Amino acid sequence: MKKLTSVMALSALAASVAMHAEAATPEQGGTLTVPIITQTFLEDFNPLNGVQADLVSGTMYEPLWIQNSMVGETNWRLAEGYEYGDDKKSMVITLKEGLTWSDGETLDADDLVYSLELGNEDVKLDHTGQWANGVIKSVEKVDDLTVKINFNEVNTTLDWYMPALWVIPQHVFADVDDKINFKNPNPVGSGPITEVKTVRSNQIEICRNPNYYKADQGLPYLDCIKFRQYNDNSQIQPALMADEIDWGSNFVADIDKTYVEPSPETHGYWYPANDLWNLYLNTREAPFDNVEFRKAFSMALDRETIVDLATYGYATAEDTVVGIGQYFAPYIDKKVDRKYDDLAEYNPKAAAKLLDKAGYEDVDGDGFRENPDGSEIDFDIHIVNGWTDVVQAVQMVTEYLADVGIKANTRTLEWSQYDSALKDGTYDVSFNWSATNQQDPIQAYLNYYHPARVGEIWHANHGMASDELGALVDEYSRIDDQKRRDEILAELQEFTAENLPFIPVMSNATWFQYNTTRVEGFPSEDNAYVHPVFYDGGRKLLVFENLYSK
Amino acid sequence: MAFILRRLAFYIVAIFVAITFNFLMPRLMPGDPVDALFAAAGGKIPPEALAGYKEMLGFVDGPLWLQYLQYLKSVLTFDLGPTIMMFPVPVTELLSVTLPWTLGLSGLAVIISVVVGCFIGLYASYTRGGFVDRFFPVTASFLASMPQAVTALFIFFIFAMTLEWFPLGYGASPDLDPAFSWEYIKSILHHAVLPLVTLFIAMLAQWIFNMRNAMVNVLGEDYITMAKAKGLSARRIMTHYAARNAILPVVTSVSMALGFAVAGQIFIEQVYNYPGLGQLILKSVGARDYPLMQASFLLIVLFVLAANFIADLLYVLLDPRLRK
Repeated sequence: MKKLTSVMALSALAASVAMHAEAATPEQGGTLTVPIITQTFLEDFNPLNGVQADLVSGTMYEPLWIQNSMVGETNWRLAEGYEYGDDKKSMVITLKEGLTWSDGETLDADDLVYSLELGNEDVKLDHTGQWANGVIKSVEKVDDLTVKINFNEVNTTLDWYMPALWVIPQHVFADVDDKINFKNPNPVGSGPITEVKTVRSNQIEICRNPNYYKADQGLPYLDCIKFRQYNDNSQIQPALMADEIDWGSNFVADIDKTYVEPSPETHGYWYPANDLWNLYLNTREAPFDNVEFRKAFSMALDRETIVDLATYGYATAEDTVVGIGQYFAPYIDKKVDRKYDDLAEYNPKAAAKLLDKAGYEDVDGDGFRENPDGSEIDFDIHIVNGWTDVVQAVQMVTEYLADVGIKANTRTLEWSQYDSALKDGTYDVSFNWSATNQQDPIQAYLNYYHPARVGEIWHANHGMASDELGALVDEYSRIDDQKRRDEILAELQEFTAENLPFIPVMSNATWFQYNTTRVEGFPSEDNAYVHPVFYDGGRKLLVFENLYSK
Repeated sequence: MAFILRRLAFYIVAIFVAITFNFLMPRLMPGDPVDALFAAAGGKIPPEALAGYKEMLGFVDGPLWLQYLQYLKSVLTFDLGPTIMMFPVPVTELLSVTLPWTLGLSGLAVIISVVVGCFIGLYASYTRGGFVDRFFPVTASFLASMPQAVTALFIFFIFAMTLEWFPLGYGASPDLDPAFSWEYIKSILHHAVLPLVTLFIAMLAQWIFNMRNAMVNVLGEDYITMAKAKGLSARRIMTHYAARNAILPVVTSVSMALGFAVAGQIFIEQVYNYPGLGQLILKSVGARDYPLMQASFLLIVLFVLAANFIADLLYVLLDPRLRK
């Protein structure tokens, strides 16, 4: 018996050694070099003023948690978890045990309460916006690891906004009077890299946190990050090509030829879908007041060709009309999508037939159709002057419309005119992004249909926002029953597909280039562990945590 | 003396007019900074955070005359406020980190091209029809007539990207600490070569022609014939008799060029990612960053006027007729 157990123990040990060798933790060491677009670097590490937020978010200051929409799970960071109260009028956040700041001081509930309450003291420090819009009523410390946030009203959406909270050390910031102009020259942080090694106008190097809470897992694998200053995209492309930087988040012209082909083993890119771009239609006026016209509009567009020509094929053509794009692909309701599948397909014949049937015919023989009452159809599609790729997309849309006999013109405007026309609902058709790359797909519908958003945001003034739809969105924000939430999402998707108040065209690309000459572990299409957004502290952190020196 | 005082009075008036224009110009442009911020962010700024942004950037502006008084006061006290695009960094801080690079690069480029250009012009005019006269003015003007951006990109592509003889950007290596050491100075020079060559190519022709044309006029004068008759050496006639007179109009051009050099070299700084003022101005216009725009334009105006004033003083020195 004794022998048996020792044999078992031995084999178990052997197995664990073998397993360990297989998933060996990478050795520590090495430096990651990333570009930052700015005029000049400054010795300013204050997260609250945002001067150099991209240097400190995620890397120096960790969030409470990260919503990893790519794999659909929550990555717990400083917090171990959160829970809404039974009445949904409070949230309790529990911090992990044994957290410390980089100077060795304890990170506990006092710091979290302090960080939350800053937003109440000063609207400039309310980075989550949840004091300003009346969600948070008060914050209280329950015990050393637990904090309770009380709400003014029932709410179940605070968890989307909490990742934007800067959890900062009370023992550093409490003595600072002017928190905006404070430069935080000796930063004390919670993230993997906190020790500022050099500050020069064109480079800042920040290195390993000596008291990192994940040090026992060997993290971070890399020792330092070098942030390099660049003035714009055009300088980052040669720097990528010359192996000066390891990770780019910028537009690179003709990337296959200029970047990948010269060194295919080490140079790569992955452009997953980001937010969805829609053609918003003003459904209060003819001809957009007729749903048959809107359907024909959608079917007249060859989205694949638009994407290929206008965006060099980097964007993703939208193949559904439910209102959210590839970014939220897991949330698209399959039944609804299948039912309205043909509306996103290029089918000019069917579009023409639909128009004929609905009475849009060319009565005066000028080659373009007229409204059923005989008045002329001739409208403008708004887009901002200088947004070259989307301007070209709009031009192609007008050509596809002309193919089915609809007269439309590209109208390029200055931002301020475009902006107010969208918000005031004075456009015919306008091409704009959507809130389809945020924390939760409901935020897209909040911005499409909630009456409170009409006039406030670009996506709501198409004439179909209503109290009923707003109530659905509000209900979603007050419950945490996943089944009912799915039902609401399906209902909103069905409404969108059936009524088409806007026509989905394409999902923007997320710019992401990697260079494995020195550093490996980047996400890619085959290893899509996170949406590779450098400008998002949480996602940047998840990528950084996987990187190791070659 | 009266001449100098008269000029001084003129410059003071000019500065005041410039300051006033400087205040009005950006306000006549369409759009405001919050718009620009939103457009640049492309919807990434959540509307929830808008209130905070607006207050942070100080969008609680009064009537125009009040803004003007505020502006005059800040100009006179050199307290130019925070920038908008890198809030809350003060304007003066951004200017002080970029100005030395621009002054160094553009100043050096102007001086080198003036010296070389004038000598070539001088020699070409004296040996009219010779090899120098036939070769250099034509070649230089051919090179100068190419757009600066194109020249810069060509040079960048050949010497920085393909041959890798020179760095891809920056004023000095990011891996070196700024210090008064040979290593750092060497790095600055190494980084300055390509931008300098580009600027030199763009500027050279102007000075060759300036000097050559001025010389050709002077060389027709009687006192040159007289000097030749006296049997003076060609070199002495060229420098002491002709050049000293021919240089007067060139002095004006040089002072103007030095003044404008402060404006930076937008294309060149852009291509070589040189940390100068030109890029800063370009960015500030894009971001509708009024405080930064005004401060940089003010700086340019002051430098141009100062350079002109120095030219006036030099005239007095060079031209005995003005001393009376």
